[in-house]
Amino acid sequence: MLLIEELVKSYPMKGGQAVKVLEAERFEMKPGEKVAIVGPSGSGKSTLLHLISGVLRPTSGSIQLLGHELGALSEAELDRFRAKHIGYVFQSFNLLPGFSALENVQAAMGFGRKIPARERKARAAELLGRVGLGHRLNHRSHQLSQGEQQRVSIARALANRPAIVLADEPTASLDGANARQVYELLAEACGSEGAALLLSTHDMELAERTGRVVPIRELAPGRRDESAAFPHSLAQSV
Amino acid sequence: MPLSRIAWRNLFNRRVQTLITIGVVAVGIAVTIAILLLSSGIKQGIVRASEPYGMLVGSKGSQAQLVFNTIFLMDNPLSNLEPDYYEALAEDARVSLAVPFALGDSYEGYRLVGTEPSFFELRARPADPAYFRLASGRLFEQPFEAVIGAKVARETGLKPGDSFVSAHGVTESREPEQHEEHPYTVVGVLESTRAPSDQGIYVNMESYWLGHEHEEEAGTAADAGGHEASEEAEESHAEERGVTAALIKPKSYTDLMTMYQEINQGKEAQAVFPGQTLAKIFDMMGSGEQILRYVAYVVLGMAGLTVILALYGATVERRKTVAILRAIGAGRAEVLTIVLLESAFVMLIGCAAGYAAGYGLAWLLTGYLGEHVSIAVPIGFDSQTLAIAGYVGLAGVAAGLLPALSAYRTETARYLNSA
Repeated sequence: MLLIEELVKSYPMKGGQAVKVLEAERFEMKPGEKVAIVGPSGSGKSTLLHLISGVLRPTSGSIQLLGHELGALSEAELDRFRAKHIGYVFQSFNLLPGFSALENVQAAMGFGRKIPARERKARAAELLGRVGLGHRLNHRSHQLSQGEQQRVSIARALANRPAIVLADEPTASLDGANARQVYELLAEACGSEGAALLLSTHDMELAERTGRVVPIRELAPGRRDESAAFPHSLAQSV
Repeated sequence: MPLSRIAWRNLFNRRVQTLITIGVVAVGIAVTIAILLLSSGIKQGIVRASEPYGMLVGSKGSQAQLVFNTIFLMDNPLSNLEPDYYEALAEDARVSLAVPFALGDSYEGYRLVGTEPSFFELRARPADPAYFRLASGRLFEQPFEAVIGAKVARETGLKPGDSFVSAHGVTESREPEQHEEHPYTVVGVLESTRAPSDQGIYVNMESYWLGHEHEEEAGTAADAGGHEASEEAEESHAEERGVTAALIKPKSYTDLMTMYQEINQGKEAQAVFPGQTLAKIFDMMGSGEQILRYVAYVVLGMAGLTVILALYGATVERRKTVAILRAIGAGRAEVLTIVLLESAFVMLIGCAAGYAAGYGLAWLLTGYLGEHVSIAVPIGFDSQTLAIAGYVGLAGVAAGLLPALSAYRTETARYLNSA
């Protein structure tokens, strides 16, 4: 479903030099799979997710998602592709300010255009109910707790029945109990919607719940794509 | 969710800035429209007020003064027309109606006008009803009976049956120069014409002359004393019984034009078409009106700059929202559309509110003008006002392009992880 090869993202600097922020030789995901990308802050986890979502363009290399080479898509095609097939959950929730929980979820459906207009409200309400916010549909983002905001974000990510959900440090802003609860909800919701889950985190306990942990530095050229059998001792060294 | 709803929500989130921007646009439009409506409305109102008077004939002198005396009851009257001249004019076969008009003393600042009952038959066009109509009472029938204008009745509280004493000149002070020996009795009150004539007190010519003769007598007696002085005053009465103006309605257009030329070629009098004189006055006022319009355009320009500033300022706040929208699937074109819709909503509401407020302001000022100058200013639909609102609206939306393009170019990834 997702295949990354020879991916490089670098930024030009003054004096004609460039700084590499990410290198990934090869990374693959199967449909419905749950994978955690782990690494310290600044190691390129968010950059990798931005590249997969198409909000960033790689400097070189290939990203194939659902059989589409993302680099071959125009920006407009990429926007439409992202809206239809990719869900996004952020560390800082990124709900639309002033919008209610229901409106946040419905807004995403408007861009995806996969769900018929007449069904959108019902689906948004159903998704919010599934993440335990059935009683908070019309609350605006600032009226919700952080845990509740992240749950709205999860519902929004799943709104268009995406093939993959990218979760960038989804529990980093939450306390321990809330973090576990939100992760369980995310994993369960992705499972029931049939979406793959690729999350970035520096929380190894959370990462190990996914079943497959990939240290981001292992993606660099010369390293192997580690799999589910990623040793705990190595993980601790990340 | 439609893009329009997202745009509306964004505006609601910044409701204070949005309301201020709408307010600035509305004030700019309102001032411009009010100035436009009033400048054309005042002209129409003044011209309308002059319509029933026909051709004015007065002694040689300033045309404007003659018009001001007769139609606006303002300014000092020109010297009187000789009685013989007026008589000849009234008996001219080409004249269908000649009305004497003599601007005289005052009561509480309202001018007395000596005239004849035929004054109340004047009409703007032959098919129109009489311009001056009684609201109560009757017309004057004998000396020292008065028919008062609607504003005089309203402001002084005079009503049929009341009496008052006039004062010499236009001073509101009644103390030193009251004509207490000749009190006037109010016999009728006119309906409001919403014109300066509402400020007139109409008496018959006899009253006007008697009042003036008494003035002359008193003055001469005081100066010379005795019987001889009184005889001199008697002799001068015949000369003094002139009028300040004659309102002439000829039988035909040809008669009107030939009389106009004849009178102006002669040495005794001048003939004036009020509309023509007023047009000259409007031409003189034109530069002042133009300055007012420029002021309004400057206000509009400032409103435009405020819109740009507000929308551009919002783009900085909006970057995060734009990044979120892009991450959940909005394309650049959709983001551009949302921002343009925001400026369109602001301009639409601002223009609509300003348009309504412009008419409201013009209506209020019209009331003020009606109250203080007694000029009815007609405020009707003017397509130019709609064009102004339309152009400003379009310019505002065009101004929205700048922040829209800024939003269009927002780097999504950069703002997704910011707090």
